[in-house]
Amino acid sequence: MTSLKYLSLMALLFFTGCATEMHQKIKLDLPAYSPIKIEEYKELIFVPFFIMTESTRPSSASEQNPVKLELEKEKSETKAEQGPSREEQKKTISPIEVQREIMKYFVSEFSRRFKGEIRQETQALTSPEALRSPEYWISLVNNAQASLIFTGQANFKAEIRKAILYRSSPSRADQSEEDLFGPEKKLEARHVFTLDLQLALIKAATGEIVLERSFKETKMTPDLNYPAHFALYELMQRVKLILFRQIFGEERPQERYLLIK
Amino acid sequence: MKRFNLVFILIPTLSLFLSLPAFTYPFPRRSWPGLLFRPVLGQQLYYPYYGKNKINYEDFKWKVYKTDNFIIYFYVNELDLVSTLATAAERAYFRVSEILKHKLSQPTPLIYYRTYTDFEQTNLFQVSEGVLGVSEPVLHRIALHGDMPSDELLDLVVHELTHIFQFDLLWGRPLAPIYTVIQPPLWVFEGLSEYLTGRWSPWSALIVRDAVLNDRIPELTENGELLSRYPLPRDPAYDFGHALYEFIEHRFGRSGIREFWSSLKNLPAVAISRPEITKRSFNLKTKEFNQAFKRYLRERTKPFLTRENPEDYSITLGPEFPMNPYYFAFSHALSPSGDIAATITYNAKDEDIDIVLISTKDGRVLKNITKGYTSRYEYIRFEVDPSAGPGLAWSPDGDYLAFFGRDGRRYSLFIVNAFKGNTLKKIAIPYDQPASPCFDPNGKSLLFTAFERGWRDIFRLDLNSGELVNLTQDAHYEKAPSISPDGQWLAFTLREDGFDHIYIAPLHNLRERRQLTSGSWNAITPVFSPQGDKIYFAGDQREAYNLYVYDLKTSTMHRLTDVRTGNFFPYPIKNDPKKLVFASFNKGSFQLFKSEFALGSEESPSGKNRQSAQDEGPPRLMASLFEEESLVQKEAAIRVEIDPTKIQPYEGLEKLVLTERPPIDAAVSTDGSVYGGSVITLSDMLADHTFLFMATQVRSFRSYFIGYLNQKRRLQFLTMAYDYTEYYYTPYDYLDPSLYYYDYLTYQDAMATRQITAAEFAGYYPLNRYHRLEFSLGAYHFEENYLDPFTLRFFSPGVYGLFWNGNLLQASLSLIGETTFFKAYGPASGYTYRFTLNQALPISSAFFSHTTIQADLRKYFYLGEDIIIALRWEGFMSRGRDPWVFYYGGNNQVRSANFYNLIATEGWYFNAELRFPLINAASTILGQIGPVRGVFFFDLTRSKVKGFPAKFYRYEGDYFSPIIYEFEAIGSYGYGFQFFLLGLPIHLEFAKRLEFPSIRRPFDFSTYGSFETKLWIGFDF
Repeated sequence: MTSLKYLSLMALLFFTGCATEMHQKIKLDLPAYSPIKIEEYKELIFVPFFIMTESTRPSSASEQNPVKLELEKEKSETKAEQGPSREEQKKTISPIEVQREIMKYFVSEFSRRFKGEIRQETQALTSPEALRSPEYWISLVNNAQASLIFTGQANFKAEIRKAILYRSSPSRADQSEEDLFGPEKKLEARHVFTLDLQLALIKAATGEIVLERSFKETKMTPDLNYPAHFALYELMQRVKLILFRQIFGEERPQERYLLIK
Repeated sequence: MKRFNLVFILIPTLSLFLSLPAFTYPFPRRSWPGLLFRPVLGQQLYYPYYGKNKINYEDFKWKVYKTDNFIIYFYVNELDLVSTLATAAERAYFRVSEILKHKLSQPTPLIYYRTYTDFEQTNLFQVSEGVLGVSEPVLHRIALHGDMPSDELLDLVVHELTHIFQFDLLWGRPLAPIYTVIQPPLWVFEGLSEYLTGRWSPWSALIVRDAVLNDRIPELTENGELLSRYPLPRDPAYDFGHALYEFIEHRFGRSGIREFWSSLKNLPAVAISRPEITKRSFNLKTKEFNQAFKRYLRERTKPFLTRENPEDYSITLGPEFPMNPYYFAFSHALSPSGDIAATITYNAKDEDIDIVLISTKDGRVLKNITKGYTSRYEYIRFEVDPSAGPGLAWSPDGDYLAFFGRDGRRYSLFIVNAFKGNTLKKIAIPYDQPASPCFDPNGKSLLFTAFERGWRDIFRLDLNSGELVNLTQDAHYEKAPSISPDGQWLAFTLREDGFDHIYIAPLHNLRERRQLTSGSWNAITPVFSPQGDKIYFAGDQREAYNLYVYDLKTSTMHRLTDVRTGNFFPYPIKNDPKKLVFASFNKGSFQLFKSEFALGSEESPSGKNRQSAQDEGPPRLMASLFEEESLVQKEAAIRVEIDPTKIQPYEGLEKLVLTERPPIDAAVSTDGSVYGGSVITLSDMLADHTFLFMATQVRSFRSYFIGYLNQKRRLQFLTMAYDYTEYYYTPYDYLDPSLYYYDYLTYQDAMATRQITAAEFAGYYPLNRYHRLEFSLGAYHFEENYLDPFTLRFFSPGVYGLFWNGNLLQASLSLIGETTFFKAYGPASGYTYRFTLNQALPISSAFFSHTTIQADLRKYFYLGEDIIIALRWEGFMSRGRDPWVFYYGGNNQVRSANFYNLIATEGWYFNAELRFPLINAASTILGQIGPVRGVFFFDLTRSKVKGFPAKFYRYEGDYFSPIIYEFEAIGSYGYGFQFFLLGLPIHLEFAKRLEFPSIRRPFDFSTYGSFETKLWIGFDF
């Protein structure tokens, strides 16, 4: 027993000694690594996106999901209570408007960060395949040394989904709250906006893709009259946050542990 | 003195509720300080005032109408007014929503009052003069009044609705902000609200331009606050916040503003300090941002650089803050001789609005004719916007001045002696917001403007009979009337299509009016020349307001000045008509100047050849809000017609909501006890009905309170139930000479507790702003005993027989009045009183029986320079089989006595204090502790317990042979200091005891002991 007591004491001392290593948590703004040296380019050329529609968009596994419904056209009970409103017109957004909004947004955002010239082309990307065709880009943009092309393809969809919901926790994405004191389960409708973006930065001189990235952002709201162009703007903001970290190496707050001995 | 039952605690609670409605996070049209409700806590040390009355003159019959995005609460019967408001609201929603690309999560409650004085009756916020509308972040409500042109109403709704969008963007949903500690700076909120109106008011543009030209541009600090090193007419958050948003748009585009707000959404809810906003949003350090902002403003203001500086006209005739204490000449009136200008100004020293007489020869301030504080009126009415016209008028014979003062529900016209300031006549005006008084040349009548039925009209008041006639009675906004010297013609301003223009009409028939000016510019405040052949006025054809003259014979108009800031209120001098006395905006305030002007170039009265800064350089301070023209048209096309079948009555108690973050209050007494407590309030949308749940604790004694407060009508009532425990110290050595303890016990060992369980109904009826009646009826159960009954009874078996244990049914009636004017440090001038009668109802012989009378009288003499003599006399008497026992002492009652150690059934005490400033502001390592004030004090008391002589005792010697001293009265004198820390007033005092053997020989007194140090936290009486 005595030996056990001494053994325990030694073990305690050993572990206490190990625990003398101290650390301190610190917060830093760390720049993200950027694979492209954008400051080397003198010009940024915006080529309007290829907008995917139902006919042009390739089918995907998600479309086979029986839970997902087609676009709802009839008025919901909630909308009927509120009466007809201007929101009716804003529930959908045409492909032309999508393209215009995307171009307008990224042109203005890039113009605040990019130190060189900014130019907009009128000819849109003709097909997704053209993205990977260096000849296409070289022929499109003449004498484009030190120029970078920003383009891609986009698909923006607004739909109303219905499902039977059980009591659940609040959705952080759209700051809505489920009814925690309502019935155990009930049929609920949600307005869902999805933005699919494949973005590419292409070296104009060679047609080589220097950065390619896909984004899929979703916004869900119980407001069936939520304007589509508001949702599009919000989704583009999310994309921009991630994209600019990669392109401009924007700093973001990170936690690190500093070991102090 | 401790209030002897909870009526005197809770009725003041009620009073504070009624005079200071609960509110947090204020974001009105114009800034004003928020005021957190402070319920009176158990021992009523913290807040010893009774408050002034907010009177609900009318019982509004509220109705509800829902539009696409609003729930409108209104009481007016004119549906066209509601339609105008609803249209403005939906247009505002469309605009703000499209620009911010955000949709509110739920409809916004919009509460509409017809007039400003109706708006003042709201229970939602405390509204002060000049506030047009308020929005609050807890329930996302907007409240506003509609006495304004429709274009201004749209601007107001846009402004307030933008705040609602801001709350929604930042915190997502109603009630969320009550958990938030850190929030963006004020300019972030107010600047965007002003920016989204899409317009610069001439007043706002003037402030910015003046600051830029004088190199006084406010700057952002590291934590994002907008700070001005120089005094500005109002918080820079509004005007410079607007400019900041325009700069952000100019530099970073419209999306830059949206991105800015996106970054604000990620602010932590709780933090020690805000992160650097400019770095997060624009990748610019604060100094870089400031530099770019200033350069932008200077560039935009360049065209004005070469124009006239007001100081080129003449010497400044004043006011000249800080050379004298008067800041701002809101408006002025010239004596008939032209030698003296009477000016409404802000007295920075007294924190009051005054009328001062200034010599137009050398700018000397001759006299302040409204010096000091008065209860004749609450305040002198003035307008900051010059287009409303001057705030006072000088009679043609030179003997009188006329101005409007706030008097009860509305206003009165005061005719005062021009040189003495004494009131000669007071005439109540039954209309809202009277302004611009103008004497008839015969001096028998006076014209002015005021709101009736939602429009500003011109009225004539017969000064002898008091007869009032509406001269215009039309659906237009008339302002600033001026009568020709021969009394035949009237010149005035009329607002149409968003612009003010000069009209002239025969005085006997204003419908035959002729328009003198027109176009997209403003011409305001016309004044006839002494000969009556010309009209002088101010106009902004060149963006800055300049002085103009219109020749009635030739119908030509000439500009007289080309100032870089703004010139207003031109008055020709009768004996020297070429000279004008006028106000010019210079270095942050209006000042008076006098000058002679040559006729400048002839200008077109229609502004066709309007010269704009745009012609000379960068665009004006105006932004095109929508990026697409189609959205402009869409906004203009929005129209809401009210469907009467969809109007619903307002149910009131249908839905209750938590209205604010429960406050936490604390106080410390001289015995070292810490008091703390909090309250939860639930009320309806209009705050007419409030449910209260309050819990407090002092030492280990907890108290609970639940109540319902109805503030809908003039007579307001509170029903409540509570369980309340308080403590005091039985005076073992004062009460009975045989009680003598030597070193075994201290006074604190004689602590007794009183627990009261009660149900009560209380009512409050304000007679006017200053005086009110309070009444109550309650049933109480008392349990009282020593905290440590064993120890005390061991030393004093059965001696102290004054504990109340039993039941009481009591009715109470009080008359309360407070005219006291308060400054930041406490009461400054006026008087306060309270008379109370409590009568126990003889429902049963087993119930307590007594009649109690109580009086509290206070008077404050303001000697100037913040030196005050404060006097208080408080008396009480309880007779009957079971007289009530009062306890008092300590703090600022009787300083040489221990805290709550004097008990009595009858008695009084008197306090006299000389309070004076020592240090105005002191910055220490603990923070700002100023102002620091000093006090010399004297107090005196005499009291008795039923069945015992009216004596105080002091014991010396030992237990077996004590020496007993008797006194008819005791008191104290001494000195002390008061300073503020974290908003709490802290008193450090040194008191010495006075002893009066006979009250009939007041000068035959002695002192005892040395000066004792007393420390306590609480406000002065």
